[in-house]
Amino acid sequence: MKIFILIIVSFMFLNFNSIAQCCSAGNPVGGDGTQSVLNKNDLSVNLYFKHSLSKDYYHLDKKTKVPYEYYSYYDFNYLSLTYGLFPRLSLYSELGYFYNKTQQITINNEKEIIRSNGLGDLLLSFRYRLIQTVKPVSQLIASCGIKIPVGPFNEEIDGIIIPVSLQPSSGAFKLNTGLFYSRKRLEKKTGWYSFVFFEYSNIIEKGYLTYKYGNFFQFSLAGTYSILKNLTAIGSIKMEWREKDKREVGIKIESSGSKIVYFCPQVLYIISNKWYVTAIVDLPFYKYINGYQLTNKLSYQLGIRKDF
Amino acid sequence: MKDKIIFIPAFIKSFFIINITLIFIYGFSVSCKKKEESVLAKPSINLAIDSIVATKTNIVVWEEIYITVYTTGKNLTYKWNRNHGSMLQVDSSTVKYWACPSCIGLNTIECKVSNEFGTVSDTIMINVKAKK
Repeated sequence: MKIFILIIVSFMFLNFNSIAQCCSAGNPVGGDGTQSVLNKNDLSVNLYFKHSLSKDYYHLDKKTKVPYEYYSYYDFNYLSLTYGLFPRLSLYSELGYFYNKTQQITINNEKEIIRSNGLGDLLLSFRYRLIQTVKPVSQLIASCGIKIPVGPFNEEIDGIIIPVSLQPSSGAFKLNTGLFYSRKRLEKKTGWYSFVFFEYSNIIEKGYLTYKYGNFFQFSLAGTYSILKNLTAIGSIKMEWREKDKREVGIKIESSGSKIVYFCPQVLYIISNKWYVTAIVDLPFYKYINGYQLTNKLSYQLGIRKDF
Repeated sequence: MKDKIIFIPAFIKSFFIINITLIFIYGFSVSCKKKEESVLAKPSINLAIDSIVATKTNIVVWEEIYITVYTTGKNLTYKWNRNHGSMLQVDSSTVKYWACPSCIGLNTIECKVSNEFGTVSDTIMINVKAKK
């Protein structure tokens, strides 16, 4: 039972981040948030599908109209592996593929479509279990990792290199660190967990492009409820801060960076001892956008996990 | 006072005359060489970018402009790139360019033109300002 609860608590945190960025469907950031640490030589394989839609232009906290109509989305599939190196230390890796990363622009009633596909970024991170208690069931896990831009960053259509935001790879090396805490009493159906995450991006210098994504910070607080023995419902509030991006000679891009708050309902179903399925929806309900930017409308994610 | 007559030996006279002649010949050859160097090389007729021209180079956010590359050569392929802004193809040598609010600043648009003789490239700068 204890292991069962631990698995639920560690598995339920399966959120990607959605980026509010001009003309962008966004590249998922910083892993799936699964902060499980496995026993030595244990292996866990996750396969997920994510769809994200960005539609509305925002100025500060209000929807605004722009001359062109933008409609942006992506379909992303990723595979992640978690392997227990030592009893308290696990290695997490993740690599995804964009089936399509698409932007539809309507200019003077004419629709133009810019589309790319390819590998995203490779994430490698270490997770270390700092604290674990049995009564109540709790754990504190720290993580740090690197994101490597392995995917294509020079996709073109009709002889025109497509915008950075639509390239499958983010084009930048990124460092991230996180702290995850979960707590649940065995005799109760409810529990909670919290997660903080920070990501620092390196500068992209390619040809005439000099670009640095702003620092990213995320805080999440979630409550869990065991509806049935093998079915758990989770509701979480996720807050994201992104600082302004910078271009050459450190010039800040005024229309970049944001503060967004999401409500993320989620269900987790345990098929058998080693198989799990999950579904999550990210619904932004408060957005504060610097300048004018295309923002995320919603995203959902379906996943399956197998433990070995 | 008696005028002094300076006697210059014949071999010294010959030495001066020969030297002055050589200096003239050298000077003439150098001036001829300079004329040869100042001749301008003809531009390649196989592959060249003559110019990149934009309908405007100072624009505001969401304003559309057209950028055309004028070239010399046959069987040309064009590749356009920029650091900020959006582009759509109009025809092989012309693109439509505009910038959203996150692309404010001095932006570089590059065009690379290639054929069997190689690749040449040129750039144009477009200054994008916020809408008042």
